Amino acid sequence: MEPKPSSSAGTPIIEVTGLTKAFGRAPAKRVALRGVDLSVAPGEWVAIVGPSGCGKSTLLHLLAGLDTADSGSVRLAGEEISALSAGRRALARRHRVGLVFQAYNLVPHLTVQANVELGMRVAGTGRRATRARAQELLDLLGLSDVARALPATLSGGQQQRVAIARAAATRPDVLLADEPTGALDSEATGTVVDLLRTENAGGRTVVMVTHDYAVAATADRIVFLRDGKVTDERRPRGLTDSGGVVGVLPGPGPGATAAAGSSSGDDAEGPEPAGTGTGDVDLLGLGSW
Amino acid sequence: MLALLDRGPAHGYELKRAHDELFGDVAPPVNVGQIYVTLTRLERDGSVVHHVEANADGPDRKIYELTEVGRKALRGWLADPSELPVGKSDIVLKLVAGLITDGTIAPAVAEHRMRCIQALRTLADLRATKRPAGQSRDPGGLNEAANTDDTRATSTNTTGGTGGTGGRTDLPVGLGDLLREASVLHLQAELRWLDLVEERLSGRL
Repeated sequence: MEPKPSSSAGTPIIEVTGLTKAFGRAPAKRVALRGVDLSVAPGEWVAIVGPSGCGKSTLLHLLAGLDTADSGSVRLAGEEISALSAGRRALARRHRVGLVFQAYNLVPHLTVQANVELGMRVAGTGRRATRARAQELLDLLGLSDVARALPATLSGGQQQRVAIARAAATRPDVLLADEPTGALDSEATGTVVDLLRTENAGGRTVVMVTHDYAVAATADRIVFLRDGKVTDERRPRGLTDSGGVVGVLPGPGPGATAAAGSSSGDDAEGPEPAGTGTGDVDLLGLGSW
Repeated sequence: MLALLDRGPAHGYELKRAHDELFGDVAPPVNVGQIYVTLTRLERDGSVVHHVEANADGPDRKIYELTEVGRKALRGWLADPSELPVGKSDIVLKLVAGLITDGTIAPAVAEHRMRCIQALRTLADLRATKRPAGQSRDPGGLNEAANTDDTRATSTNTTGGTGGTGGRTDLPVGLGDLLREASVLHLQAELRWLDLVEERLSGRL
C-alpha cells in the first residue's frame, strides 16, 4: 500500500538545522524556536504537533520562506532559502511549495476556478494548460458544479479542498499545511485528510501543522514540538491487519486480557474453560451479558 | 447478548460472531468460552432456555433463546442510566500512584500517548478502507476497499454455521462509523488530557 520512498532514501527535500526565531524586543521578547532540527525525505508525510504557542506555525512559515530565521538554516531541495532575499524566496516558494492555511485564504471576489488557477497564472503557466489543469482538479475533487461560484458560498470543507487544489495545481514538491482542518467539523476533516493522503500517495511531500491528534495519526511521522524544541518523534502504525483496534486498545479490564490469553489455547465450547477468571468482571463491557 | 438473542434463537458461536462483527473495529474479539459461561448464568437466572439440536457435521449444538424474563431484563437494562465516561481509568490510577509514591510515570504517559495515537491511526485506516467505494476517488483507496471485502467474505465463509437467526447482523447503515467515531472522540479527549498533564506537571512526572 505504501510505494513511497523510506525516509533514508536520497537527500532530504527539507533540511532544517539549528533554527531559532524570536519575536519582539528584550522586555517583551518571545522566543518561538530554540534550535530546531528537522529532516524530511521526499514523499514523506510529516505532522508537527504541539500545544498552542509551541512554535509550530512559526516553523512552518520559515519552511515556506514566509519569514526569516534569527539563526540556523532551511534547505529546500538542497537550496538554502534562509539566505535568499525576499524576492528570491518568493520565487523558490512559487516553484517548490504549495501552501494551505486554516482560514483557506481564498481570494473572495474570484470564482472557485479562478482561485485554483491563481498559482499557475503567477507561475506563468500557459492559459490553456492552466484551464485544463484547474478543470481536472475540480473534477477530481467533485467541485465542478461550483467552479463559477464565489468561495463564500461554499462550505468550509469545500473551501479547503479548493485551497488544496490551488496549492497542488503547480505540482509543487512540497505541500505545507498550517492547521488545514482547524476550522472544520469531523466529516469535512475526513475529506480534507483523504485529499492530503491522495496528494501524498502521488509522491508529494506533505508537512502539516495540527493540534488534532486524529489528523496527525494519519501521517508517516509525528514530530512533537514543545517550547520551541523538538521533544519527540514517532511513526504511528495502524494495526488494520489484525482487524480493528484490537491490538492497541486495552480491553475493558484485566479479565479481558485473561480471556484473550486463554482463547488461543482452547477454543472448544464448554461452560468453564480452565484459567478464565470470571469473578465480577464485566465480560464484554456490555453490562447485562 | 440479550439483544442479540432478541433477534432470534442462536448457538454460542453465532453469538460470538455477531458480537465480533458489530464491535470488531473497536473491541477485542470475545472468547467463545466466555459466551458459554454467560449463557449458563443467564439460563440459571431464567433469562434464556436451550434445546439441543442434532448436527450431522459435528457435535450436537445447544440453541439458546430468550424467555419473557430475559426480554424484561433487556428492556430494564436499556432503560437503566448508562455509565459515565469519567473517573478512575487505568492511566489516571497510574498517574496518581506515581505522584504519591515518587515513582516516575513520564514513560507511561509517553507510551500511553503513543498507543492512543496508534489507535487513532488504526481507526483512520479502517475509515479509509470501509468508506463506500463511490466516495473514494483514488484508485489506491478503491483497491484497499476491495481487499477488505475479500478478507471479510473469507472469514465469514470459514466460520460457517447455521441454525438460528440471532447470529445474523444486518448492520444499520452508518453504525460502524458511529462506533468508530465514539472511540476517536474519546481518544482525542484522552490525548488532550495527557497534554494538560504534561503541561501542568512538567518536571514532576
